[in-house]
Amino acid sequence: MKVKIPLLEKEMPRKWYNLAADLPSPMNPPLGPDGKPVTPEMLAPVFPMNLIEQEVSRERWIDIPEPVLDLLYRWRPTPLHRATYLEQALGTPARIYYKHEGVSPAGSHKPNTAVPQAWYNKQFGIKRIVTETGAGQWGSALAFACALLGIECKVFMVRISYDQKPYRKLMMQTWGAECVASPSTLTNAGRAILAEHPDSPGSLGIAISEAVEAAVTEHSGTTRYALGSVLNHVLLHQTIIGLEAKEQLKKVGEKKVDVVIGCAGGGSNFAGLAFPYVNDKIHGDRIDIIPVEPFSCPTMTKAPFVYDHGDTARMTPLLPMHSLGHDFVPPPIHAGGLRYHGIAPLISQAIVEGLVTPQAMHQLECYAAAVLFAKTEGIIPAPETSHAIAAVIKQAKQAKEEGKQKVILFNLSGHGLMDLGGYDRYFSGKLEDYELPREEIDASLERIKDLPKPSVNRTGRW
Amino acid sequence: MKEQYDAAEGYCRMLGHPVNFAYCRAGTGPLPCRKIADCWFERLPIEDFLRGHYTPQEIEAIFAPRPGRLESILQVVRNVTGTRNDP
Repeated sequence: MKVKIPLLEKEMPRKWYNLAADLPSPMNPPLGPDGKPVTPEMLAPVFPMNLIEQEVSRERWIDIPEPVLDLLYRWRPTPLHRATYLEQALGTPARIYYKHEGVSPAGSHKPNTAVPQAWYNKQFGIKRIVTETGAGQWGSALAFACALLGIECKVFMVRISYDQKPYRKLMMQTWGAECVASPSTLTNAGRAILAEHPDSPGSLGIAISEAVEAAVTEHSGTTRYALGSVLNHVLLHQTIIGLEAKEQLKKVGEKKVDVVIGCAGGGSNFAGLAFPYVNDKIHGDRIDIIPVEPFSCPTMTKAPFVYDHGDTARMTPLLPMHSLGHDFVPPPIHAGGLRYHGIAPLISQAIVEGLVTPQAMHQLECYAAAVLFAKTEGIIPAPETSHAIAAVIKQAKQAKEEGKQKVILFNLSGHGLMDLGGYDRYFSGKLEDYELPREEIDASLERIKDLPKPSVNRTGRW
Repeated sequence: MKEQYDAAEGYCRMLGHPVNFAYCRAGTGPLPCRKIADCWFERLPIEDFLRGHYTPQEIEAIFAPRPGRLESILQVVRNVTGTRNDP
């Protein structure tokens, strides 16, 4: 039985797919403090203009430059697996397929955007890219990408992570990046913290401040900042996942996919697999497209569509997205990638249209699914990926009950070999399920009820 | 005593690895991390702890809204360059 469906390099997609071109209703733009849309010029000190152009583009297909393809060939196309052994364990008539993004050098889908971002920066004349990282998944992906391009890479890694989580730091250093413990003496933001707290263990917020400051204050103008999720151009780069999957499924005679599933934090790995199928759905196909989130942090499944302010002073831009509001404090969940209080705007608009239908899964169910997957398919998934697997198993069991041979496709966004602490807590019985009470959500929403509401652009077709 | 739970270990989902309660209490700034309640409520009497050691104003400040990622970036740009983000 065929369990891996490879794709040749020459068969790899030559274009990224931009959902913004096909959304049947326009997205509400991000707004500045004055209520006017954020402009490309505002982002110019931070990102190179060629990436900003992608960020605001409405072109349906955007060429992947040949040199970028050459770089992606290091690990792409990624294999599409038929989850034969999981199917057997479940006794399901469903045919389950997954894209294995854990085969990238950094172990996740993150290099799919890190590499093009580094390339576009280099084309723009940028010689150094700066970013921040916690445990190091994004930092290591960018370090890898910069190594391929011969660009300097500086990563501000939160001090406590730098000390306690050395392996991704070593990955970054191996790829030639300068990994700096944050707070550092290299920036005003870092020095201010150290002046007051010389032993500060740092935080992600401080590291972001240091990275952005380092990028925008470098006098030659050849340094920029890079971000690994949420933004449109990041999602765009990730669509190579779904585009490859379509070619691979054709090879094994699958003419139709019934269900597409991905875990969704900021949304980039979900979007990467799903957006090409959203396009099919817009053009008439019947597909269930499901972003999965933790039950205990229901950004997509229980919140209405609102404009969400960034700060109390309301001086920062407003982004239209599904959100529970900024004072929403989600209960514990052990999936590092699923921590955004708002999902990417493109995904929000797809939810509004009914093109994608979010689901929420409890964390114990997710870990149980991850363990079953590891025992059957052999791969230990990242904790956030386990949300997708739990949703797949739910669909497969439903197919069994209904006697339906549906085709389920999901994204195995990364392996969990660097994140085994969550498994340890699961096996030792330290994890609990918790569902946010409706009244807590209502109270949070009450606090943001007076914020401006976007026009709900919806065609009503789905 | 504020330090009574400092040795307890939990998982920081902001960073992606385990940390001690001391980090959540005092590691990220003068006030506890805004996630302290949801990360610890299952294991510690966190509301009692906060009410016992912080004023209502401080508690409000702990849980005050924070900028999202893009907003944070633009705010830092504004702070660093001294320019407004308005066109």
